[in-house]
Amino acid sequence: MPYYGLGTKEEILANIDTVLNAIDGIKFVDYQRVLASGIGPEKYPGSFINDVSTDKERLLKDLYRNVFGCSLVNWVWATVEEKLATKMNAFEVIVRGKIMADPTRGNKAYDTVIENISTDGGSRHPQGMMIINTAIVYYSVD
Amino acid sequence: MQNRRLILAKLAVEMGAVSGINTAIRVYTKTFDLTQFTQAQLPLLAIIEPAEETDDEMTSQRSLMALIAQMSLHFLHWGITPNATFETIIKAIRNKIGDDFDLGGLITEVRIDALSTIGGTMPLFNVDIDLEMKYYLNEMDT
Repeated sequence: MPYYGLGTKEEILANIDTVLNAIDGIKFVDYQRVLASGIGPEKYPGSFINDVSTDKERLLKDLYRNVFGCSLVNWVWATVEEKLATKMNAFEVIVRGKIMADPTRGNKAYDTVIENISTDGGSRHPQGMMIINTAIVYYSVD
Repeated sequence: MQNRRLILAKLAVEMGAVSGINTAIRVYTKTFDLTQFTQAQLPLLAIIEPAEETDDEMTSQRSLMALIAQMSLHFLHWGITPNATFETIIKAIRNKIGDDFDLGGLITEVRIDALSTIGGTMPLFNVDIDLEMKYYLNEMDT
């Protein structure tokens, strides 16, 4: 398989959006948000795609190597009968698995690396929040 | 009876005519600014200003000179292992040198002395080619 990595940040964000929306049971995907303020329990689980940073290295006049920092803020909601930690862990496995199923983001990136995953430790029960920080390496013409 | 100025100018013209090479330039140092070139200008062959030494002192102020030139080849390959691209270009360079080993009568010999391993990472790779050329210099002319 040809191993390309030439793309744009917009194409990569669109790929992540598609991947997250395809997760079975996910109710809400949005951009550039951290807190789930104003979102009712019916919209859980959900995920917010955050464009955090881009480091550019110029290789040629029209070729750049980029490291795109993208944070996925994910929310779950535990009902009275459910254990929040179990629900959050299960959702984390699903999101991580789907994101890493194609690290080339549809041939628009060279690689996707999960740098770290952190949770709120149950401090917002019955809400649960976790952040998956990714670094996506891609090449671009500008 | 020749001089390095004519020989290096001719070498640049000959290398620029090699099938598969889009740009041949002369540079003073190996660390020239590659970011001034576009993808379309690659493969690019940079002829680094060579060292020169007297190979043999002769009578009547003539010398056999050895011109040790390094050429740096930069090329794009959108894959992990650039072997095919590398081999094609190197074969074309070898063929060109073999077809005209006296550079149109300017020198007595030119040969590839050494070939480095492939450096760089996807998509920008490079390889160094050491050339040894010999020519007669009339010191009365210089």
